Amino acid sequence: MAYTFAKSRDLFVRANKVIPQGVYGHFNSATTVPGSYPYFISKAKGPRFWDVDGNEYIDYVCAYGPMILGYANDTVDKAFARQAKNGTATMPPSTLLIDLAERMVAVNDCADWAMFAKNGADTTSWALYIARGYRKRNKIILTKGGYHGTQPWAGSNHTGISPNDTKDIVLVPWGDPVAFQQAVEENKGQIAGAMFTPYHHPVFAHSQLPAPGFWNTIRRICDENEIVLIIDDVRAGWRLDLKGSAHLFGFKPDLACYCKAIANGYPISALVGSEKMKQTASKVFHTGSYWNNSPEMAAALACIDEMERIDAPRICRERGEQLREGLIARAQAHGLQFEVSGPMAMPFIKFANETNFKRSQLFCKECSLRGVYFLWHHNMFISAAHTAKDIKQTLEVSDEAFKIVKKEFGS
Amino acid sequence: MARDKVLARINLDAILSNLEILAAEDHESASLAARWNGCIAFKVGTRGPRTTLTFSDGAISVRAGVADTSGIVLFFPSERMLNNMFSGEGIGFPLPLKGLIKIKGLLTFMKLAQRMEKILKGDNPPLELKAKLMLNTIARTMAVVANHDEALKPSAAELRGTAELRIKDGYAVHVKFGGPVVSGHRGAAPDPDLIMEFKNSQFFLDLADDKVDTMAAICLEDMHLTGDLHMGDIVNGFLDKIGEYLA
Repeated sequence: MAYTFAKSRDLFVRANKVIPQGVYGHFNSATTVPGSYPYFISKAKGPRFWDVDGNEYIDYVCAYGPMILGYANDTVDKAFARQAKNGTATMPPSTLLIDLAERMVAVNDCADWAMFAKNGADTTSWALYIARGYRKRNKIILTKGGYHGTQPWAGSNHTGISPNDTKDIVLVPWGDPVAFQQAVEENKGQIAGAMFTPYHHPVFAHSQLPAPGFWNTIRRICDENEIVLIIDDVRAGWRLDLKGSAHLFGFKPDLACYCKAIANGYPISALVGSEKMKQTASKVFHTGSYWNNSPEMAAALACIDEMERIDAPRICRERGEQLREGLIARAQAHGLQFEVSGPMAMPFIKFANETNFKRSQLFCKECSLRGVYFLWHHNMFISAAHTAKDIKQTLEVSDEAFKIVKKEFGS
Repeated sequence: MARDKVLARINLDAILSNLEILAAEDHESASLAARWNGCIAFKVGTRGPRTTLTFSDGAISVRAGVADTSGIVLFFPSERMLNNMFSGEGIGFPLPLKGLIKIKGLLTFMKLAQRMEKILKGDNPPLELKAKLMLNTIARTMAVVANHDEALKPSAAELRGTAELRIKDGYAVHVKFGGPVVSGHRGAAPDPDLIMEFKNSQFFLDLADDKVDTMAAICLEDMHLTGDLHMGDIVNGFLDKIGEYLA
């Protein structure tokens, strides 16, 4: 019996009376397949959630990355709850601030120091300020189609952005060291920093892994031109490598931004950097009301310990591989051309013989109606809570969905 | 001024082309159009856009360029002058290079323009007809801004494929991206890459008047977006810009 969404819809109508967009930002479901996806959930546990209509899903969005150990993870939740009894937002902060900074320095390959905030965008802005302060230059190189948050400098095109907000931003294609070198030459002596994601994970397009030697070349160009190399590891961090995605790809950035999976859903982000950046970091005044909340720090410490204990990246990678191979095999069995790109733990799915995503939308819709929550426009996320059995069930559902795509499109 | 140059093309291509629909589908407009046979050409500056409006037995057609058969040629020294005539603000009268005495043709055009104004901006308009005119205006204007607005040209150059806008079970227009020139057309596309479908004419007109929470409308299925939503994102930006030009 396919899922229905009457309660979700009624709640959305209610929400939209008092909330712009009903549900706003990237949590809005306009980019799913509306009518076939839920808008509100009632509970979540492990790799699954249940919507307000009682439908159960195996979740491959993981809240766009924060969930890595499974929803409502007992270890992390207990650490949070325990610390919450000792106060939340306090001045001065709890000693957990030091504990977490020391943990970050110990675990992350490029960290000699750490600072904490709430969201990924807090840290990417922080990194940008530090780079400018360090080099006494204003221009920042970003990737065209990259994402570093919705703040004005990061290139969003939403209402309220002024062209002046991006006048010091230079865009280059991702993965193209020649274009990067050229941009540096054209702005000789003006580039403070270059901010990249460790691999390219745009929306509406395949993910791109770095070519061999790419990062060494970028690091060399940055060094030769005194450019601060910043890695926005907000989305991929922890899932690919606990030491940081830069470690996986074999290079060391000057600054690195973390959020998402750091505390399994509790709101905290981290900026880490090398020793040479520490003095400038001390001069940048960037702060927020809840940035030193201690329960989130307790959650982050517990999450990092648990990720390390179970080797979460390995589990995510193995489950991702099982999912990728299974999806491709089933698609091929139906005569469909299906592709999966990106790291195993963060797959982007697409049909090879289309550019307009119509097959992808139908596929995801049919999966959602059968209890598998996929995205067609954005990379997905595998968690360490996904079991081999979950993946097997997912593949059985996908088989039904592929059958419908085949019937509708023929190939 | 750059804005005037783009707006002049919108007026000559998108706005004037609505007269074709009016003559074909609105009884009052058809009666007006049937009063005169002939051509009126609009010419802007020495190198500006040119368009010819042809009246033939009640039908109207709009073509780029100045037709040899144009009995009336209206010359506008600048885009601003042409735009002022269309908006009814400021100094906006043309210099009649030819056909000054063909007053019947000019009067027919003026009355049709008034009829269009009444449908687009008056109270209690025929909804389906107004929606058709708006969709046609949007499709044609989208092509103009994609081809001529310097800020939008880079985004337009990224796009490949066809975007279709349609009322559910009703009128459709489409815009083709990817060739040397972006073009707007009436009717459904054979296999559009992006479909923006609105549940009815009233909803579409409310959306066009910026009275609708678009993201919520998509979730509530008052508006269906299917296909290449990256294209949809860029098209949405174009729609915002179209609103600025036509405000």
